[in-house]
Amino acid sequence: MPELTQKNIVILCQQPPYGSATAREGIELCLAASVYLSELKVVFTGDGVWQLVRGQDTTNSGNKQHDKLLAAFPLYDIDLVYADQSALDARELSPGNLIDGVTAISAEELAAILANAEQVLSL
Amino acid sequence: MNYALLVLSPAHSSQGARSALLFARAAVARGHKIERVFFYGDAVHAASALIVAPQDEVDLTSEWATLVADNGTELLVCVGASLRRGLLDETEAKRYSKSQYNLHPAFEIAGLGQLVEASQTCDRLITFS
Repeated sequence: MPELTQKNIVILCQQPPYGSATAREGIELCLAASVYLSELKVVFTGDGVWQLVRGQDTTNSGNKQHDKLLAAFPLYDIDLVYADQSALDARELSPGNLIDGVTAISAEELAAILANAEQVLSL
Repeated sequence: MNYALLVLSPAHSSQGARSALLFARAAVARGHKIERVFFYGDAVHAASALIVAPQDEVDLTSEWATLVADNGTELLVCVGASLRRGLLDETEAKRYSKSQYNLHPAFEIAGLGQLVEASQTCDRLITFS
């Protein structure tokens, strides 16, 4: 790929980890995008915050464990990972329930991240 | 303006898949360029050459193919999403020892990198989900 002036990209993950392939394919997009972009922000909101829950057990469903997929983020230098605090609150999730490396952000901070993005990819 | 489209909507069971096509046509009619359309997730089924649309229904695949022929738009389907949904071109069929392939010739199999590239080079990237 030619050298490009990089746009500030945010990937917004809104779907729960299981029940459809969207969440998994969203994470695959994050991993692929990180190869080309030096800075990538990934924001989890709505039911998307369920993707971040630590200790998921998929033994009986035959799905790949979604939290293990997310564990690849540091290997891809994806370290700007955010969870919408209001989405966590609505689901009675606390930061302690989440995998490492996630920053909870307020509605105002979320709005600022989206407003500053030149491109938002929403899955 | 130079547009790229990201289509996530299931090809034959959602309005999003139709809306993407209608948007592309409307943009072209206004003199804009649709440089690349990237199909991801269940949207990749739009690229199957084996779809038989009922006579009184829109044949989405041929409609996309017409757009390519008239405007040089690139239609790309994600390789990972396509393979796991049984959508293969001749190269992939050979690679995985499958006896058949079914990708419509107007479409090409591509990597997610080409979506990221389009997001960087086009003026706008519009998602249909």
